[in-house]
Amino acid sequence: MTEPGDGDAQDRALLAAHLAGEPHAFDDLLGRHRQRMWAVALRTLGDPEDASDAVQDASLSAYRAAAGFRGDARVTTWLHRIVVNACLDRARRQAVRPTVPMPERPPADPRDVLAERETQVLVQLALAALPEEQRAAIVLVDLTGFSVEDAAAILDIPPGTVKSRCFRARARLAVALGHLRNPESPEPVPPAADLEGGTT
Amino acid sequence: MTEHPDDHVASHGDSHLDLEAMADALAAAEDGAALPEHLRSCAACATRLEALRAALGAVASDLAELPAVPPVPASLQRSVVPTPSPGATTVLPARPVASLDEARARRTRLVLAAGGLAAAAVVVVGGGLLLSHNATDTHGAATNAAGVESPRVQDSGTDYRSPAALQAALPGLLSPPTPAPGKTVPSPLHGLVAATPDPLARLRTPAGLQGCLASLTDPADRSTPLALDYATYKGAPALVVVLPSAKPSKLDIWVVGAGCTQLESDLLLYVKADRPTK
Repeated sequence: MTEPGDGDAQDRALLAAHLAGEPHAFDDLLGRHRQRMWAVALRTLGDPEDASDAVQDASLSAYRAAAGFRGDARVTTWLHRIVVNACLDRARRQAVRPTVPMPERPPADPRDVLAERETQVLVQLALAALPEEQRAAIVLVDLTGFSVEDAAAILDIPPGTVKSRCFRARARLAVALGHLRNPESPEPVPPAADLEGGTT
Repeated sequence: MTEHPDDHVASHGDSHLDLEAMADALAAAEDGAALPEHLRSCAACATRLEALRAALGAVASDLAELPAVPPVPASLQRSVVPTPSPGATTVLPARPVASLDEARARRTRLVLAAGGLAAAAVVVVGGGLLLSHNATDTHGAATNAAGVESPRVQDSGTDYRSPAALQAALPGLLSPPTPAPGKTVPSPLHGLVAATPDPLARLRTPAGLQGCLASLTDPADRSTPLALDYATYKGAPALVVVLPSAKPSKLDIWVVGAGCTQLESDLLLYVKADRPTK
């Protein structure tokens, strides 16, 4: 899935240079992707400390596994796959404690601040309550801008499955965030609590 | 057609569809698939489906309003590469990620003049290459009309054998002799070019050079090369590209082979070198 100008050629060159013994090449490679790796980890885990640990684990894993990179995926896909796996491993090992970073641009009206923060807290909590696989899909596609195809390559699942997981995640969020209250519905949509523990 | 490997909860026969089955229906519909039969015959489920469709728009708005991801913490900026033993090459801290603003600012000043045996000047503007013929710019051209520094281009024909040799050659690569007005610096390869095909000929064309440079630079941060040298590396035809490094005291030296394209750099050597002091 290499496309002209997407930077993969330089990534491969840096990886080759690293394997050839150039001491700075791997750090240069990570430097090109670190911001997005960090974003994926933070959005997936919610907690900055956990996210930082996950990115650090993933970076070391990638460093150790560099020689085994087969080249059948883009380097960025390979790196982010390692990050997602590190995040999911970490999420499985411990309870996630979502935190909400302060908004960078505070609105002028304090009431707006409260309303905005309340929404952000609710969204963060709703994201944290998603099944891991759905959360990973929606973080990649909706929150860090990967295409469905790239997310599929990262998660190593078919694009259709990514799409399905994204839609299911959005539907769960719609319930959790109160967007899906339909009083005229003969059968109310199952509340979020009923969805917990459901299959993905 | 959207695949649904998690289909065991997506189908419920004649009963009303649950939330995930409706989500799957919307996902499939986005791919042009027909809605499940039940949705076409059950008004209640069809109503709920439309409610869900509208709710997904509100969810998208909520997600868009999440606070921006904070900068990468300093702890992650440290190198993951094990520190070598004393006396070996120093491990540099990882290159910081350029901000969008920084990248934009750099793009605005991307003007590159390059050439080769054809004495062609290549100008990069906003990531694109334009060709202009200007023999006097070929060697030692310091700045162009916009006042932006241009790369020094040489056809030294030097056979570089090691990173140390490149480091030693850097002062000369960055400050080649400037020819007298109206003259060009004679290239040691001139005679060879007439007699044998030039393996680096493609990299002397604007398109060839542009593609090769694109494989060496980040699309969001197309740094202007400081110097180009058409040479050989361990006997193989090679183009030496000297690029600025994130650390001002360093330079990135890429040595690529004749096969360097936008998709494949044909890398022979990458080394970070000390920037010569003036």
